[in-house]
Amino acid sequence: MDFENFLGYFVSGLTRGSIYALIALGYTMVYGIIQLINFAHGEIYMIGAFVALIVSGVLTIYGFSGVSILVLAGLIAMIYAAAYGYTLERIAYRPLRNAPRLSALISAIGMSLFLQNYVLLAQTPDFLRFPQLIPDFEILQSISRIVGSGEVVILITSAVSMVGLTLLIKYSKIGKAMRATQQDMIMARLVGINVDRVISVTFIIGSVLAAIGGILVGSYIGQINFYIGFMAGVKAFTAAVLGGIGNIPGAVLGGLILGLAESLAAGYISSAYEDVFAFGVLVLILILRPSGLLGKAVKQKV
Amino acid sequence: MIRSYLKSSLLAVVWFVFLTFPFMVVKVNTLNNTVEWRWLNILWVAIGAFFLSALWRWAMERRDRGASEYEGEDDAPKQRLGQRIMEDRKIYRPILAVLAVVVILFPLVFDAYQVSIMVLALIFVVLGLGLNITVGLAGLLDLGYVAFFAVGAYTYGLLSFY
Repeated sequence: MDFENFLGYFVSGLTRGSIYALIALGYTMVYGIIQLINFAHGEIYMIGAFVALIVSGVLTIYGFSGVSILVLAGLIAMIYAAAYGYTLERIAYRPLRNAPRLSALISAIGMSLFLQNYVLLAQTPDFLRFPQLIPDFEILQSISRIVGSGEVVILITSAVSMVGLTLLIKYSKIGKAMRATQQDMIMARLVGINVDRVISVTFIIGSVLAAIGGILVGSYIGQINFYIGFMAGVKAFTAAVLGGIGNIPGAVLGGLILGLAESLAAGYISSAYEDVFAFGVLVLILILRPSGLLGKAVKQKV
Repeated sequence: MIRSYLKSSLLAVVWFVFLTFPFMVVKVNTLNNTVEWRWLNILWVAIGAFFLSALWRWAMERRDRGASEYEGEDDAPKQRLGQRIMEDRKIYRPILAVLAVVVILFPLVFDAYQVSIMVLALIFVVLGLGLNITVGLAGLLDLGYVAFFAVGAYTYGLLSFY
């Protein structure tokens, strides 16, 4: 009984953690390349969830069913999130590429507020019921107290996307270009890498991952509103810092640790203080290892 | 020139209509399973995107031109208007005096609501002054700064309550 409870908390922690990790990947990739904390990333996640909701709502009314809705809504949401990420980079960050870092940061916060209020005005300030896109699997009936089908789908999808991202960065040409840009932007430009394009692709990949997270969370929790991006963004940023920002395995690790800490603290101590424990873990780790769990100690260039 | 502006603006219109389509046009009610199509909104988005993108491009070109001219000049750059006002005592003393008079007269002229708005503005000014110390002088971007705003308000509330 007790062990069963523990397993339940553990799985729900892993689920939350993998969502945080998906969003944190976007933060960490963008930070690794242009040293900018993209505060609007949480809003991209929210936009992904919203587009999925709208598309699936329309498709339900026009009589589509089951898996076709999931596939279509997911695809369109990813396309839109990618388009928003690209546009964001193009109009809010590219003109500020050579400006002081603070200006780009303020611009990012501004875009975050703008997108929130845009969805608030264009759609609704209320919570919307998110249709259940993930079907119930019968195989999981016997252990549904520990693992629900939503959790399984989230774990599998996020694991697949993370493996896909790793392969993309390790073996593809654009991944190689991304790693080169991360190491030294001027040198990458000298050897003929189109740095602007690499940055755009980074934003697009990060946005697609965030949209996947948004769709999964939307259909797992069952309701969304325009404000979900903020807390998810802050948590994912925390996860990215926890693992060492700029480091891709670090973001995944940080997300999982954060999710587990939250879920176990909520289960065993008090659910009202789950955020306190999440951020407490962050403070502790940053005191012991200031550059994050897997981060390299970077010497400040003067 | 004008043709290239038109072309880029039309491109921006197409792009932004695509981007804002699900948010501005479709409104789904997931409880009743009804959908509302607000086609008129596309028109506003298109008009807005057209003019804003033209304005954007003009401003960007102006900025880039300004940067290249600036590099070419040898003598010291012209001081900005704000800097000139701050440095010249003959200018800023009278401005301060006028401001003081305005502040004193403001509650007499306007009603309570407008005064409360100005008070809010001045509270933000105080916050900005404080943030200027941590971010501007110490170089530390302290996003948790507003927490102290909350701590102050909370302490005041608790102390006055008990």
